[in-house]
Amino acid sequence: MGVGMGAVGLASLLSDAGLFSSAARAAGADVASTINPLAPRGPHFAPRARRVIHFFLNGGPSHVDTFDPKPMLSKYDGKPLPSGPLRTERKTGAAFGSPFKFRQYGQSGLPISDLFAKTAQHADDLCVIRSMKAQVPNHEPSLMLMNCGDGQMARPSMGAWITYGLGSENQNLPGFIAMCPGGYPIKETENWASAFLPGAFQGTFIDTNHTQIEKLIANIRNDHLPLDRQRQQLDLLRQINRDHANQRGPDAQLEARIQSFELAYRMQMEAADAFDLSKEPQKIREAYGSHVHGRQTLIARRLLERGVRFVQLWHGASQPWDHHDNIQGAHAGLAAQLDQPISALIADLKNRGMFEDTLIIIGGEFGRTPTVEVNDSGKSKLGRDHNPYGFSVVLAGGGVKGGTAVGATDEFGFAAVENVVEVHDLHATILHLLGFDHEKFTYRYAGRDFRLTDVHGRVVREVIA
Amino acid sequence: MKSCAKKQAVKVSELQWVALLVVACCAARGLSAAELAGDSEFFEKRIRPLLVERCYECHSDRTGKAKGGLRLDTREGLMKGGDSGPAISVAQPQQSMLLRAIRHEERELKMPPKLKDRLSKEQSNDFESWIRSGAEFPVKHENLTGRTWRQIADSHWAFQPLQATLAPKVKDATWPRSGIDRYILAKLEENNLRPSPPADPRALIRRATFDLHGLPPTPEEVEAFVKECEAENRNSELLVPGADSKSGKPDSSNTSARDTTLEKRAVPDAHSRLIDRLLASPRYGERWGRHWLDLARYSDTKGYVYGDREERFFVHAHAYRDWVIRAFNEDLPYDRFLVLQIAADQLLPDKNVESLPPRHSMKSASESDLAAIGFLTIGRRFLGVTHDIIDDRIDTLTRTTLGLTVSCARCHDHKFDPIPTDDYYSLYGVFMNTTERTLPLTTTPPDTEAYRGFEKELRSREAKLRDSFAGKRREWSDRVRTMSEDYLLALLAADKLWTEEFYAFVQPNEVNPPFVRQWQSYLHRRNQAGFDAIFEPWHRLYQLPKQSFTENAAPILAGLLNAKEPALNGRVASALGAVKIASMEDLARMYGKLLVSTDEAWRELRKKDGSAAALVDHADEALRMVLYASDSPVQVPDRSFYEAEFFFDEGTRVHLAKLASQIDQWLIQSLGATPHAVILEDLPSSSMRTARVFRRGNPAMPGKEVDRQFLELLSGKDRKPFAHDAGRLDLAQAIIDPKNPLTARVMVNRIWQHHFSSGLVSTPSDFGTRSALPTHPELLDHLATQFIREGWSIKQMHRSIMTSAVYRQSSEIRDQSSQLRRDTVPPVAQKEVETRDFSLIDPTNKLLSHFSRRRLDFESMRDAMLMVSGELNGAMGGRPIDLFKQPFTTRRSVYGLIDRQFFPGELRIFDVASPDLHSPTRPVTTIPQQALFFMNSAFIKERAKALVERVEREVAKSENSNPKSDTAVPLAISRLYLHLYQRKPSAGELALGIRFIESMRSQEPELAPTPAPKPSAWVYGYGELDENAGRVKTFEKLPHFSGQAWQGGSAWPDGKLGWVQLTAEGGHAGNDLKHAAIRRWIAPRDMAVSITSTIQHERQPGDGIRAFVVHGPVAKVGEVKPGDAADSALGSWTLHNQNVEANIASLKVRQGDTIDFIVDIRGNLNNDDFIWKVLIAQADIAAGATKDANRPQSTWASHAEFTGVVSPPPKPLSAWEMYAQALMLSNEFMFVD
Repeated sequence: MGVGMGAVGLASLLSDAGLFSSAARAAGADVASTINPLAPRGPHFAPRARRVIHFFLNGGPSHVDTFDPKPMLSKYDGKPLPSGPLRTERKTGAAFGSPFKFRQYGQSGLPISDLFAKTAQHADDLCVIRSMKAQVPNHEPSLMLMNCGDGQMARPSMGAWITYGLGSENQNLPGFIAMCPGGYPIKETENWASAFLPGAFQGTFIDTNHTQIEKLIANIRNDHLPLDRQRQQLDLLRQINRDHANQRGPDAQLEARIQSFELAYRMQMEAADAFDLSKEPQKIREAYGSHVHGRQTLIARRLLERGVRFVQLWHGASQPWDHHDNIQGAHAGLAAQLDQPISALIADLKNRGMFEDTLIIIGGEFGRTPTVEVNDSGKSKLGRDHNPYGFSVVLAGGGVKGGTAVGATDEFGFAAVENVVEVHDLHATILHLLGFDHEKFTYRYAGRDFRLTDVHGRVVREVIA
Repeated sequence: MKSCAKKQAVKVSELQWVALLVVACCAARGLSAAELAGDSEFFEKRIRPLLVERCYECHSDRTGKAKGGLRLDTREGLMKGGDSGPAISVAQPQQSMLLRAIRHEERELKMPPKLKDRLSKEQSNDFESWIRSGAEFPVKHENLTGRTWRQIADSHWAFQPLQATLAPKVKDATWPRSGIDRYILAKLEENNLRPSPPADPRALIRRATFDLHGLPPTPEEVEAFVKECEAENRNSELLVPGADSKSGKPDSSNTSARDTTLEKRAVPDAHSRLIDRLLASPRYGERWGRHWLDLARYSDTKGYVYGDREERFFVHAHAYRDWVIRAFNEDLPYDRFLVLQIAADQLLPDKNVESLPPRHSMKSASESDLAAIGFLTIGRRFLGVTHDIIDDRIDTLTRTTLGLTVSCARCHDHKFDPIPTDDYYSLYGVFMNTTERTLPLTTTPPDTEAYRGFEKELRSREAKLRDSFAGKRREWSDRVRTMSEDYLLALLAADKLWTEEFYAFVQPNEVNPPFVRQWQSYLHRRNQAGFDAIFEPWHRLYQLPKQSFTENAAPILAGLLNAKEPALNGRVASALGAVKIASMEDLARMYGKLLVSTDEAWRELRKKDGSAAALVDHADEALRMVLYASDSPVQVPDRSFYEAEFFFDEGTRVHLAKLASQIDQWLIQSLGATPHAVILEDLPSSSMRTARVFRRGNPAMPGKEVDRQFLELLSGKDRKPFAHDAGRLDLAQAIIDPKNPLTARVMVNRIWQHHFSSGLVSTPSDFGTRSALPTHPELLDHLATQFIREGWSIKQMHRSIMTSAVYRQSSEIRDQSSQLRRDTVPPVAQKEVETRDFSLIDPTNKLLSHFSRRRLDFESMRDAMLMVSGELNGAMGGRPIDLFKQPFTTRRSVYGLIDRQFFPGELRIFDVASPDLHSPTRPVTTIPQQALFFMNSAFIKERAKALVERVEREVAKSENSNPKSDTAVPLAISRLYLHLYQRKPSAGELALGIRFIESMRSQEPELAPTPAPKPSAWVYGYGELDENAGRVKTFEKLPHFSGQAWQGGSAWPDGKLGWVQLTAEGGHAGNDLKHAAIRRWIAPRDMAVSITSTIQHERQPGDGIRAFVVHGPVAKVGEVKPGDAADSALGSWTLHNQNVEANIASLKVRQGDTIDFIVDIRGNLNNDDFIWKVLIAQADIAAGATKDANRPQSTWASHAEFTGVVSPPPKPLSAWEMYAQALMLSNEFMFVD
């Protein structure tokens, strides 16, 4: 065993180096680094956050109705904006004051609309970036930009990058999990793709409308062998593999595969356990709520607790937050599903001492117009069109300065004007919180060192506590 | 001397080792970051890109025209400056001419000259900080700053011509079997290593078979081979040295004696015969074709498409896959192989391309070869954005064939390799002038009814698209004509226009960027063509600065108006005279109005005289031609719809795309369809355009024109533009030119890579300056030269490599190490020390002192399992099959469906090449999800069972002939070992197996007798509710049970019954009100019941669902009682993204009555799935009634009692099956020694 384990230990040590050093790569460490791609690794410098949960409000939530109050917009309600509307995807008309009331919360007095009144109870822990900017008012490229840092080309997603950089603390579960009730968001699996990174870093997709473990993780159950007999079968396998390895001398690849069966055996129990909400006290379950978003968020917490690195929670299939008409009722309905689970999660993480090193991200792929969308004959649809020029993303937890608003949109909320934060900047900041210098966090592919932030990105210092 | 060299080698390695550990530790402790930050980085990030982008077009060595004598690509250049003096002053940074110029501070000194190119304030401040800090100009990378492109091209190893060398001298002359071995051995000897002894024949045949077939050999093949080898050894032992009179006595000083002998040997040895046999089998193409498909990013689907309009499957992508497999099997010469994939259409006999060299690679092609072009057409569709589609083609083509990352030069000159942006757009021009076409792969379709039916429908669908497309093209051209003014105005702000990913949403009345771009290039072409009677004023005034427009424009206009020769178009001249032109906008309006009024005059004329062919006045007619000539910018190009789609508004695009996808769907679905392929075809020369460089890759910023031609790096300064059509054939020719140093090197390296796990160059698709150096450069050239010399034969290359001694080595490291210091180290310490020494010298076995053990990839693993279980289906080609759908296909994995959008998790976790991008290597990861697949998947379980059945049959057969029953168990174990590992078990292994079988048998869990299924009270169906009458009008049972749900058929939605579905927890309403989902409960006896349930609809989109509970009394003739004669609706609910309680307190039912739980789609079909768990409880049971086992059921839970077709629970694996599965999961099965 000694020699074999030595080889594995060496491999994982090499793999650390292989990620960041071309010297090590030259020495062939890239071969070794892929033997166990999910072994935990350290980043460039001391991290503020060790895991990430990303609430993806897909479809584009309206910032002027949630986290970016615009009194001027209400003043102009029904009148054309003095500046005239910017070009977005569809036609919009007059200013459309928010139908939701904003109140100030906490010591910081951070204003948040009634849509997120429960989340607002943690206002002093939230950092709202109000000056986010994407590129085009079109869902597909904006989703790609937010998730993968490029609107068009196949690039690894943020979760894949982070799992590649940090590995996973739990070898019995996938390192990066994307959950969505009811099926895929648009762009489907591209949202959590690993692209040119090894497949192990790709997000594992789970449809949380299902509750059976078999549907959540492929091949997690064996329907033709009771566990005790499987144990005996694996003991035999280990014996056969051991004899095989002994005849051949130390080989890290052989050793890693021997280990993988033991991991998988334990994973059968552990995964089922992670997804089994009946193990949670009634009080906790009630706090999160019984709606699928309560369930999904609570599962996410159990996964993070077990060392999963990155969990992305989508609101639903397709693009639920895309409210071109009747935004008042529609936004209220969706926010009500998320507000309680988010609030419960923050409280729960605090109670468990996990809040300080868990990064929470809440946001969509872009925002919505402050002007009202109109139909072909110019009639108001009481909704808002897509708006990439200005929108909000909320951060909380590990290393984030709570009770703050960073940057600003113009007085009507159309475009980010102050301390503009491009999506690449957000990525750079997230990587910074996780301990990475985003410019040095690279992967060599096609003769080039690729980055999540491509050739852009700056760390937004104001976000950091 | 000898030992000294050895020591040194170890020392260096140790140093590297230490360095490695330090790096590793730093990374782990977090110290490695940001330490290198400094001036050079600032420069590389903020300064150099701007210099390259904004300045070098005029001020660098590369373009060879340093304007004003100023070069900004070296520090010397900057300090020396140009004709007006130094560009920078480190002493007085503010005064630097460069700064003043980029800030546009002075009238005469503005750089870049155009206002719109001016650097931002932040950027010019960066320049200032940089000059203040000393204007360091680091020569960090070997790029154009430090060394010229030519210097790089002249010095980087991969760009040098192939060099044939004599195989080096080696000390151990007995080992080499061929030239290859001498190169390898020389390097080993240099590093004080020795090759390993030959692998034993069993390992060798297993290795070679997996290598060439991706399958294990059969036990019979192994035995035969072993016997042949043994016989050969016996013979060679008989042939004592010197006995062979022709070769003479081997002489250690004569290094070439032995391989000369071998090469001259008339009878190939058993090993060579083995390789020949393997190469001749069609299994070879299936294996090596798959390697090529990795490079070609093969997929059967297009990636993300808008589901409302486009078919997501390619039409017959598999025709390409099958062509590749065939090409490998036929040993199509590699140069020919490439030519066909790039330009097969150009070689069809009727093309008559002239002046082709009389080479075999340029022979005419047949229709079936058109499938080869799939190489270019099966990439992602990027939602139709042409620039990205072309980029994907350039990337795949250049990395696959040349090992060059040309697409890095899309936005800026390649940072590391001598590939300027211009060269990227030279290739872009080739693909820009091609169009896609779907063509049949045979010109002689079968004379069958099925084919005629297929063709008739196909023609009708094609006609629909053609007519509609033509109509829309006319409609849009008309619209754009009337909007001429808007378009000319838009032209002035063209760089602010949306780029393609946003064209999607243009409305009919809006300016549409593709037409603006056509206007742009139209005017550009006219300007290039000399004096332009119509637009000359436009061309001349276009560059004038805004502020001083009027004063500068006046003399120019006056000059144009006064000139007799050449004279302006009369209409243009009088229009110019009539209005004041104070800006380009004024000019645009003038032209716009002129064109619109000309157009109106033409329409008037046509109204009066339908046969009129031209306007009477020449000046008018010339203006009319701007809008009506075939090259007019208002014409929607007559290409395939998919390539012209962005010329239309959103509504039209959806309309046309649906018609186009109906054609595709017919080709995909119709069983009468002959194989088709999507090919590329060049535009007619009248429609060809010259590509322009897109600055920063932005199509809104077209720069200079570039010829369609090959890379300067490879074709030299005197290269000629491509001559044939758009140039694909010339491009192919340039790639396969034997003088091109890359093509052969790249391919032999790929072949080597798949034989030895790693290439001689470990970056197989990047041979540029950042590539890994070849471990054996001379060997690489030796192989490449031989490859070309032997007619680019891939099979010949396999033969050379696989018959070498280096390929035949054992994979066992220990042998090597004990050889290494056999005589110097005391035997006890030997093992430890030597292993470490060994790994220090060559830890990753780059020098090939032994064969590298290799894990089976997914395809080989899956195929091997099917092979050993005796199930493998050898059928070749055809439509792709889902590998993971039950019942599992037994076809080879290469025929499995590759869906790039929904890439199966199994393929992902086993590192199968991602179909998104060209994949030169596959990572080899080990993760527990792989183990879960091995342990628990139904696929493996079935293979284990089939293998056991096979062995049982074999044992029974031999038992019959030899009825000694106590040998049955050992015999079965032996058969398992033979099939799985191609060897017999050792005594220990036999004992282990027997022990396991016995132990498992003794503990076999007693199978409880399968209980007879209880009659269920629930029935699952669909039907229609008569709302007014409150009764169910129709009820039909759902015909198919999927294992999880009742539905219309095995596919969901079903072709006939659509979305209707019932699961344990809920279900999905059917497509219309006639297909409501109905869960029916039938009362087993008379009683009173209560109903408790919650209905959940958790969906925002759509309008929600309606739910009903209806009580239907059983019709009993003559027993109709008042009150239960008719059905009665007990409740109805409408839900949208909410939950409701649906409870009924009490209800009397009689035996056979039904209670229906009905869900329909409400208004429209959109997100109509639901959860509805129902609990029915007998209400008239006295509380506290004694618990009695015989008491009839009194509660019915829809969820818990959900049943499908009642099938017995899966039978647990037998002891033998468990054993076989374990052997199949073992490392010995999964690794090749």
